[in-house]
Amino acid sequence: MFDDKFPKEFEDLRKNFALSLQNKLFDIVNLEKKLIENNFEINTIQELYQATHKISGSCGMFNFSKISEAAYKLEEFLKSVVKAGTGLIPEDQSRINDLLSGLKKELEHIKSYSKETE
Amino acid sequence: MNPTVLIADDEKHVRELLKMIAGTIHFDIIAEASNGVEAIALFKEKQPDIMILDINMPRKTGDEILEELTNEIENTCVIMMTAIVDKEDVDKCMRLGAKYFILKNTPIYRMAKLINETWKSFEQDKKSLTVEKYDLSQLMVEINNDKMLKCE
Repeated sequence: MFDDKFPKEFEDLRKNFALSLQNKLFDIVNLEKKLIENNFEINTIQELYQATHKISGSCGMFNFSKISEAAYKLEEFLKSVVKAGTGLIPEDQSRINDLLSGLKKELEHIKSYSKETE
Repeated sequence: MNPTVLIADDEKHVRELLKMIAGTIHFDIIAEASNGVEAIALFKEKQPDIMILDINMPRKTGDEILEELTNEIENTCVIMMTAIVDKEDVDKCMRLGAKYFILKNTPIYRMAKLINETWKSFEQDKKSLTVEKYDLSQLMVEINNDKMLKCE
C-alpha cells in the first residue's frame, strides 16, 4: 500500500512536528503560571484540558507515545474535575501539579530528539 | 476516478500527516479545514466522497458539524478522529451519520488500512442500496402492470 518514499516523508514530518512541540511546552508552562495566578480557576482548567487533549492526540499520531500518555493522564484527570463541577480540593491541585510536571518532563526530552535529528 | 477527501483538524501537522496517508491510498485531497465552521463551508462547496473529521475542533466540534449537515451527508463517508474514546461522543456521532471512529494513536499503516476499508465498505453499501431501490421500483411497476391487466 505504501511506496518507498513514505518512511522518509513520515520521518521528515515527524521532525517538524517535534520542533513544534517546543512551542507546546512553552504554552503549557504559561498555562501552569496562569493556573497558579488565578488559583486553579475553572476556565483555565478548561484551557489546559484543551491544550493537553491536543497534545495527547497529535503526539499519538506521530508516535511520541510517552508524551501522549503523560498528556492523556493529565487530560483525563482535568476532565473528571470539570465534569464533577464541585471545585478543587488541595489534593486535586497537587495531583494536577504532579501530572503537569510529568508532561513537562516528557516534553523536555523532545528537545534532545530535535537536536539529534537536526 | 479516485475518491475525494476533505480533512478537518485544527493541528496543521496532523492535517499534513492525514494528507500523506490519504495520498498513499490514492485518495484525492480536495480541501482541508482548520476549524468546524470552515469544515462546514468546504463540505457544502466541494461535496467530498469522504470527510475525515477531528471531534475536538475550535468554533464547532465534530458532532456539531454532523448535526448541522445532518441532511447532507448521506452520500459522504464520514470518518471521525479522536484522541480518546468517549462512549457518549461515539454513540452520538454514529447516530448522526459517522461511519467509523479512528483513535489518533493508531499506527499510521493501520490507520491507512482502516480508512481504505471504511471507504470500500461504504461504497459497497451504497451500491447495494441503489440496487435495492431499483429492484423495488421495478417491482412496483410490475405490480401496477398486473393491476392494469386485471382491470382490462
